Formats: sequence, structure tokens, C-alpha cells
Amino acid sequence: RPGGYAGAAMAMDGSVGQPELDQPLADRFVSLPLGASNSSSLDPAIAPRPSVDEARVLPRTDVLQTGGPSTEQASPRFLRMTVNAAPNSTATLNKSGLPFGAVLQPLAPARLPGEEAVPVVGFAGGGVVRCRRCRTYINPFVNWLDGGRRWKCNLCYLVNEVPAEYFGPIDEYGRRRDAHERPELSQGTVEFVASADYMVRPPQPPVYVFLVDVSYHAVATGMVATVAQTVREAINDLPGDVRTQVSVVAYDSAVHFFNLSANLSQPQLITVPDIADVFLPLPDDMLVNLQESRTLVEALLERLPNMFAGTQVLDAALGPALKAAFQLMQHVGGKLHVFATALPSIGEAKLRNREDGRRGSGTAGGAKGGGPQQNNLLLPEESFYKKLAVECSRQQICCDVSLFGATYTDAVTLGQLAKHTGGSVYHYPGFTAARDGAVVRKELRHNLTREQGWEAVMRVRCSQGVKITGFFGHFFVRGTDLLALPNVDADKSFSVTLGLEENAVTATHVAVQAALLYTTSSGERRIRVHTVSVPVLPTIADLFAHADVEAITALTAKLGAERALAGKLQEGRELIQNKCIDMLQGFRQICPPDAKQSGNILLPEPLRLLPLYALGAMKHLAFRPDGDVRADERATSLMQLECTPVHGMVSSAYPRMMPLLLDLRPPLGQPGPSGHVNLPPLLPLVAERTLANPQGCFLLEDGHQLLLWIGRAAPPQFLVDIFGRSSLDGVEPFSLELAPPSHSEAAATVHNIVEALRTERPGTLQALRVVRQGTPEELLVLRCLVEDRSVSMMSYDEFLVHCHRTVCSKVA
Amino acid sequence: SHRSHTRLVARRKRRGRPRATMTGAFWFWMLIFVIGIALVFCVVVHLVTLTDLESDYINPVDATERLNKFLIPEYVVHTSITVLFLLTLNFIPFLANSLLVAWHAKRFAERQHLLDATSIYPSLAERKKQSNIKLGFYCIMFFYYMYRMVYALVRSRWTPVKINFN
Repeated sequence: RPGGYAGAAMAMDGSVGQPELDQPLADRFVSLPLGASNSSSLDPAIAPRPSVDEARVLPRTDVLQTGGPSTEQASPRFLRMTVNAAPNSTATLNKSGLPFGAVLQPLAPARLPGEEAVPVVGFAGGGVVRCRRCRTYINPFVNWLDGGRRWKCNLCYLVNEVPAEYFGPIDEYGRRRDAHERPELSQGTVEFVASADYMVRPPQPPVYVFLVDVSYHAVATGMVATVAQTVREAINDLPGDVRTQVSVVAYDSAVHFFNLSANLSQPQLITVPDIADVFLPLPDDMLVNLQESRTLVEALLERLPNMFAGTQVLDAALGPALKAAFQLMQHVGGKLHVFATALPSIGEAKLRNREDGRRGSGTAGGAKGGGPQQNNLLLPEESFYKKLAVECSRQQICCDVSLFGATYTDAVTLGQLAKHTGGSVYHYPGFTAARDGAVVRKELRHNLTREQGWEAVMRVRCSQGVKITGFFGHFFVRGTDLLALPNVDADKSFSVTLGLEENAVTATHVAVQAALLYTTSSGERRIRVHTVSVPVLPTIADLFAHADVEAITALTAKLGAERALAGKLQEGRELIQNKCIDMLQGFRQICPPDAKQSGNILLPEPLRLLPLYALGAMKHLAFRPDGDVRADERATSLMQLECTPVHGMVSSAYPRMMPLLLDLRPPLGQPGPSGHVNLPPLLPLVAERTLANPQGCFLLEDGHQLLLWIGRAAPPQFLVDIFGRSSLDGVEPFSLELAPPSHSEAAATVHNIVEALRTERPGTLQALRVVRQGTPEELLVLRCLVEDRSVSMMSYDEFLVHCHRTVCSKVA
Repeated sequence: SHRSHTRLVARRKRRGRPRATMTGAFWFWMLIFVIGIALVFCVVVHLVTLTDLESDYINPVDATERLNKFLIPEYVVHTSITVLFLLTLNFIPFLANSLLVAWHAKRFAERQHLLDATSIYPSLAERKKQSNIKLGFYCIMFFYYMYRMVYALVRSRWTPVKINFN
């Protein structure tokens, strides 16, 4: 029977040929036969896996054509819809089981070849052209009427007058003749220069405040030294200009301020011991202009570790320190970065060790991972941090939280500071400078030097008939569909779920527009607008044909993360599985009857990787039910998941594992004809194909970290080429580094491969960790083998069969 | 004779009771009536704040403060009049209001009763629906209280007037 890709036609790495797009969807599905001897099992070799190109997370640009140039739509790196079409009724959407929404990354950097910078447009005179009623920004999808004298908004369908200075003639197709000269009419992503109407105060200067824990453990583990050194090295690269301001505040059982006035010859330490009523000892000179006090700031950062070197203080008064930092910054706003090792133990808002006596995040909840104790550990305890976060948001202060403790630091409660101010959470459990210093240095430096937007708000609008049903991510909802983001950076991602307002949509196209109003680090007020327009299609088959499996995975995982952070971990995990089954069920209903009769597993071609990604997401550190995942790790993992962009999410769900025992020279590591760098082929994530081989060497990327696994019996020549030594015995793995590219061709190729991976996952993969077989760090690699059966979860083929049986029982 | 003409005079026939008898029942229902107005007022404030929030006239932090200010007093007052109904053996209003008390208790136990600035927007539609239902309930009960109050008033003040046609 023609149609579908039966097992025999699929290559071992799961790649399939380019599908014929004009074939009806009912013919474009993947049909996987169950085992001949045992009809409840599936040969793992024929289960779909992503090809090297698919695993790069290349968005499908073919489905976005609307008759105009492809640049008309916002680049997928900024705005990806889960389905590049809109259903015409709620019933169709519900029956298909597909989630309808979008994942946004407003300040995403250019990642793949062919991606360009965002054009900047200035509007003289009357300001940016916007719809009178719904305030939508002018975009390429509006309709021009009356010879170009009026335009019809594509979101609310109101006819607006074209301002005289903006008038331009239209051609016979109804498009503006000067569209190619005006980026806002020909490109889906554009940045407007905002006039004074868009500011409530003059653009703020970049402000960086570092709040550092200097209690005994923080100093003894080397956290203070590492952080101070990193900040000192990055101080000249902080985004900003002559107005940048910097401050450092330290805390243990008291709060320590530093006088950095430019008149002094060296920084002055001022301690406020009364934490019950913290006040600022000086009216200014603690938050100083970086340009003027640069030498003092650098001197302070150099001496900070020594100042507290001999400290024996175990207490940490984080609550009072936060209030002090808030007082310091509230008049201007900015970025507050908290570095905490010890659990806040004295002063206001002290926290208790909730994990004590409950090893792991669910010994009682256990395999089910859902008892009331489990829920409690994922819920914040003290409301001080959430309230402070809301106050910070109002004053345009964004908090990033970095946790370095070896014991419980209540990441859930402290993470509230970041969650509601648009900040990031970092967690380095059991930090020691020797082992984790390199990773922290690179990640912190990236956090400080990446592109940032200040005092931002974002509003998402959609066409009449479609409404926004939920927002996910780190922000504060300040108004209907309005998110307050005191600081938005290049790596931050937000998701929205959409729903239909009435039962039927009558328009031909649905547009979604996301507008981010922010201040750049150089003090300019800008509005970045992303617009996407998708056709309204009537049938379920159409929706499946335009589905985007990666965006669907990302959105579903974020929905699960939100549920988990509301205290219901098991529900969050099951949500992912149930949505996967709903989609497969929706597809099976529209399959031709003889395909259903065959008893094979039927997967829609655009979603053939869905079960794999869903299983990977369920086995993610954030969701897996194992008892050995600590509450802090799980909480930070969930919070990071909420902000991960699509490519990071897919990578976490299905890490890429590549063998390195190949011919390591060009064309490997060099750009190929498509512009993408040639990478080694991907391996299935099963232990027997990878870690069971003591001679193997593998490079693993999971969207967050880069790991290089070396087997016990790795060939010495390989080790010489890559590390410059013939044996790794007796060397601490975390001090191992790759030999420089000039050392050998193999080393150069590995460097190129690593750089290519870093380009494809910007913002992550900062440090490369070497892991040897048999060491405790191998656990990091084992956790990434998602296709294997684990203690409480199925293997990939078992999962496919399970989904198939559930779907058949529901459909039949 | 002196009685040259008849005079039609309506005279109140005095009885042994003292005048101005507004009984305890009337005062009780007057109090309930006033409290009923206050409860309706609370819910109206709730609804108006939610609508203002939707149309951006107020920011979520101020809105939550205002709503939370009215919430606990509303619960306390409503629970006390329900108890009062039980004590004065008015079973119909007691049963009707105890449903609402049970619902309030459930909200309190789940810690859902207080609003939170960070999560007010997603639950906006749901809260508006709940407030509308409460408003309807309070209005119906208010009319019932008014009826009882007027009834008590009439029972206490109204005594039959005898016209003396002598």
C-alpha cells in the first residue's frame, strides 16, 4: 500500500526523505509495524529519530508562505507558532488535540546562517503608524484601500486613515509599491525608535548591583573569589555606556556596604549590624558611576575575597540585605544579582530546611512522585520574596538568583525573586571553586555581557476572534495581555496559549503581534514588533500538516512546568503524556481505514518525533519521578524550563550525542553547502550503543551543558590528539581542557564542532566538562540517555507501544 | 338635647398596650437589612475592581490590596449573621446562608480566598463569575430580609382601628 514510510524505508538514524508537500496529509504519515512474534513490542531500530539537521532545530520555513516573500513573517527565532495555521472552530481544535499557542523570544540573537539583524525604523512627525482602536503596529499584512489612502487593520478590521507623510501608491496586487523601502511593510520583525510618548521617565542608565553572600561557606568554597574575579574581568564588557552604575553589597549576619566615591583612594567598608532595621549608611556613593569610580570598583572586587577570608560567621541575613539593596536601587531600577550559598538563617524572612529528614524530593511520595510532601517542597514557603519581587517589578528592578549551597537552599522560595521580575535562576549544587569554577565563570560572564533590554513591557495582540488564554515564563502581569519585564535579555523566552473566542472564525487569516517596548543599554527607547499571519484552515488534516513539533514540545513542557510549580508535579508530568496521546488520537481519527486496520502505529509525518520528545521531556530532570533528584535541583530546573527557548527545550528533551572516534578533519567541523557546519552523525540514546563501549568517546549536548565522555580504554593516540597527553589517569577531570586548535588537526576539528554547537544553542553550552567512565560525574551523562528504560519510566519503544494502545482503545 | 348632630369621628380605641411598639423582631430584621446592604456593597466593590482591572483603570497591586481589605470582613460578617439566624431559630435564611458559609470555609482552607498580585489576571474570568453568583445570592437574600423586616414592622405597629359611629 503506498503512502506512509514503512519501517524498511527508514534509515538507521531515523532520517526520511523530503516529504511531498502537495500530497494530502492522510497519505503522509509514518506507519510503524509492531513485532511479528509479539504484537506488543516494537523494534527500536525503526522508531523515528531526528536527523542531524532536524536536531539543529531548523524551523520549517515552507509552511509560512502567504504569497509574499518569506521575510514578511517574523523570523521563527523570535516567534514560533505551535501550528502554522489557525483552526476555524473550537471543535476542530479540540478534536485534533493540538495545543494552539506560540513561543516568543523577543531579543533572540541571530543563530543560524541566513538570519539577519533586525532593521531599525525611525518615524518622524506623527510617530509610529498604529491602528486607532486596537493600537496594533503597522505590519506587512494590513490591507490597503482607496488607492493607498486608507488601511485596514488585520487584527481588529478597523479602517484607518493613512497619514499624509506616510502615503504611498499601491500596485495592482494591493501591495504598497514602496514596501521594499520600508522594513515595517515588508518584514515581520522590525524595531521602531520610540518617541517621548513612550516613556514615563527618561531612559534609565544600566545599573548593576551585586549582592554577595560572605558567610563562612561562601568564602570557604571559593564562591566569593570566583564571582569577584568574574565580575572584575567582565566589568569593561557590561552592556552600557558612560552612565552605567555599579554597586556591591555583601551580607552575612550583618549587611556590608562599600563606599566607592571617586574622591577616595580606596574602597571603604561600612557595616550595618542592625538587621532588624537596615538603613543606607550613606545617601549616595554606594551606587556609583562606573566610569568615574572604575579603579575603586576593580580594587574592591580584587580585595573582596580577602576582606572576609577568615570569617567564621555561619549566618546569612538575606532578607534584610535584599531590603537594603532595594532601597539602594529603587530610585532608578536595574539588575540585582544575588549570589547565595547559605540558607537565610537570621533576620526577616529566614527560611528553614524543609528537606531535612526527607532525603530527595519524594521518598514518601516515591515512585509516584505525588504525595503531599512532594507538593510542599515545590511550593514557596515565605511570602516575603514574592512580595518583594512585586515591589521590585514596580521599580524596574530585575533579580537574578544564583545558588551555590551544598545543602538545601530553598530554591523555590528564593526563585520567586527571579520569577516575578523576569530574572534567571542558576544553581550549582555543592559548588567548589576547583570543580565548578570554570562553568560558573563562563555562565556568569555570559549573563553579564549578553544583550539586555531595560524597563521593558511586552504586549501580545491577536486577531479578533482569537484570544490569549495564558502566559508562561518569568514576568509580572501588569495588565490584560501586558507583561512587565524590568530586564529582558537575549535568552529569555515566553509562551502564550491561544484560544478561539466565539465558536467559529470567519476571517481568512489570523495574525499575532508581539510588541516589546524597552530601553537599550545605550539609552534609546525602542519598540521591537514581531508579526506573524497564519491562514485559517477548516480541517484537522490541515492543522496537522502545519504543526511544528518543536514548538509543540516546548509549549507542552512549559504547561507541565507551570502545573508542577503549582505543587502538582505528577500532574505536570502526566500533562505532557496526555497531550501527546491526545494528538496521536486526533490524528488517528482522520487516518484512512485500511491504515487503521493494519494495527500499525500511525504517526503524522510532521509530528513523528513527538513521542520521542514527549518522553524526553518527561524524563527531564524537572519532571522525572526518581527520588534522587533533590528539591532544589528540580525547582531550578523547572524555573529554567519556563524560560528556555524552543531549541533549548528540544535539546533538553532529546540531547545530541555524537561519537568522536572518527576521522576528525574537514569537511567535519566546516560549513557545508547549506551553510550549516558538518557534524558527526547522531547516536541513539541507549547505553548499549554508547556508554557500554569502554573504548568510546562521545560529545553530549543537552541544551544546557556540554559533556565529553571518555571511556576507560580510549585509544591513547586519540587522547594525545585531543588533550595533549596519552593517559588521563591521575588527572582530575574538571581540570582537563581541550588542547588548543593549533595542537593537532583533530583538536581543531573538535574545537570547530564545539563552536558550531555553541552557535546553534546561543546562551548555553558555555563550558565543556570532561567526564570519565566510572566517575560520579558520569551520572550527568546517564541522565541524558532518554531512550533507555529507567527505574520508573518506559523506554522509547515501550512508550510508543503504550501510546498506540491507549489511542486505539480510545478511538476504537 | 345636646346631641344635635352626629359627628363622624374616628377615634383610636385605646387598648391596654403601650404605644410605639417596635418589637425586638423588627429591630433584629432592621439590623439584618442593613448588613444585607453592606454585603451587597462588598460584592459590588469586588466586581467593580475586577472590571477596572480588566480595562486597565487600576494596577494589580492596588487592586489586590483593595479586594483583600474587603474580603475578610465580608466573611466574618456573613458568618456571624448566619450564626445569628441559627440562634434566633430562623431556619430558612440559616440554611440558605450556610451553603455560602461552607463555600467560604472551603476557600479559606485551601488558602484561595486571598488574592495575589502575581496570579490575579489568569483567574480574572473565574473570579468575576463567582462574584456575579454571590451578588445574585446576596440580592435575593436582601429582598427576603427586607420582606421580613417590613412584615415585622407591620405586625408590631399595625393595630386595628375601630371607627366609632356614635
